[in-house]
Amino acid sequence: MEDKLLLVDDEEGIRNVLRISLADLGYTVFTAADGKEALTIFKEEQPDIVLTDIKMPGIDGVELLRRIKHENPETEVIMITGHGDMDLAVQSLKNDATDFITKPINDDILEISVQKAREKILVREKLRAYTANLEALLREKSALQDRLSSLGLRISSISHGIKGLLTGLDGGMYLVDGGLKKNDSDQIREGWTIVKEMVDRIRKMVLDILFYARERELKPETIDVHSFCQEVAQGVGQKLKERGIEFHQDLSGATGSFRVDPGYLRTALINIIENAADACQKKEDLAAPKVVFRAAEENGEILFEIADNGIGMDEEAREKIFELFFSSKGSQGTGLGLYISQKVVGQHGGSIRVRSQPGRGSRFFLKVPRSGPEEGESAAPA
Amino acid sequence: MPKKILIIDDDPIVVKYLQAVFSDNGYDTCTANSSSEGLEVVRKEKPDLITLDLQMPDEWGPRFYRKLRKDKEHRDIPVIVVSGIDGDHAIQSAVAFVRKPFDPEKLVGIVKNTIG
Repeated sequence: MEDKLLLVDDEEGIRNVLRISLADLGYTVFTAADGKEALTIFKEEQPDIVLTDIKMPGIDGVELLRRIKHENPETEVIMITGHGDMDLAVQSLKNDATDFITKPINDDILEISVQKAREKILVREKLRAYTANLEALLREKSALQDRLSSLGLRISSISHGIKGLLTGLDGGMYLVDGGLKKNDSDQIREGWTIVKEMVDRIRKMVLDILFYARERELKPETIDVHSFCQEVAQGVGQKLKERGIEFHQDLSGATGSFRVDPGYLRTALINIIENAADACQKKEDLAAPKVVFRAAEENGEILFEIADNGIGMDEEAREKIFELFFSSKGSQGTGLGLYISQKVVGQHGGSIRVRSQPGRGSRFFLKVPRSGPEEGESAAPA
Repeated sequence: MPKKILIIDDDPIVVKYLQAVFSDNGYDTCTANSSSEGLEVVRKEKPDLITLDLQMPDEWGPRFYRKLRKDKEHRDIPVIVVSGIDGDHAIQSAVAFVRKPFDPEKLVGIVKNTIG
């Protein structure tokens, strides 16, 4: 884009000559015959450079300079002076004029003067860009710092869990080793049970972390609600029974089909059902630990309900359970399960609610619309 | 008579592990899975040494330690911190700070140096 220049002189002859010279230098030239016209054009065109005669009827050059500087202090104003305008020239200087050229105007001097004004503008623009860059850099740096420190926090909370699991694994192996040395099959069995449990837990944690780190798009399929629920219930129900927990399912209201990413939604549900089982096992002297899994139609959406009669949660825990790396299970939890569940349900356009009281079990409600996620909705966690 | 070690840790598997390590090396053991139970066991069993986890539900290890130090009869029982937390300043006068996962031989070495 060509730079705009405003030329102000009450003499038409001078305007015409200078206009041609300035256009030759590559400027888009606007002209005005007096200060008033000049101000109107200045406001409309916002030229970077103004070249003005100092002696004009009405608003004179110095007054015009003052008003232009008031309007936009970064405008470069070059004054055209005649002989004996010394006082006015000094006043112009005080008002931050860029330069003077004297009549009669020499083309070379004009070019040098305008070029100087141009350079001043360029330097200022560069300075502004540097400053902006610097600010952006600072902002980026502090954002990066934030990310790093929160990452550090995440790693430390997860590393405590991992250390606990590894210690447990060491313990199991130590017992197996000792049992083998002493030929004590009871101790070998005991150690081996621990090894298996630790490996299971480590596997779960690693898979959770991988799930959290994975970036892939949801792959929605239209599937039968009832058979989806049954599949979820079958897998997880068996596991719960092995842990001595009663598992009830009520899928009679789960009819028709819905559009979901079955793998992801299954993970979301299983995370919650396994939490329910953990909550039962944490409650001491619980005579009949029980987890109920219900699915039914509600207002055109599928409502999943997972209820347990375990330890329940206080308000503080209820508020935090969906946060990344929050876990109420100490070294046994990764703080990823419910975070992932909520993420997945959210991506399906649904929601999770929880009702719970300490000592009185928990109920999780997952609503998932039948229409499911938008095609290509990113499954990447934020 | 063998020396007795009290193991305080909320993770039953870690407790079992430490029990096996210590009894294989000729020590008697007793256990507690919380800070408050730990104090009871200290008074009842009068152990020669205590291994203490830092992060436990309800009361953390440092609180147990403060209470132990106020108990005139038992304040001088040496304590080894065995924890997954990186913070060896939590209990400054502990005999040693052993990070989980730990090397059992090293731990036994520390115990032997402390109580023989």
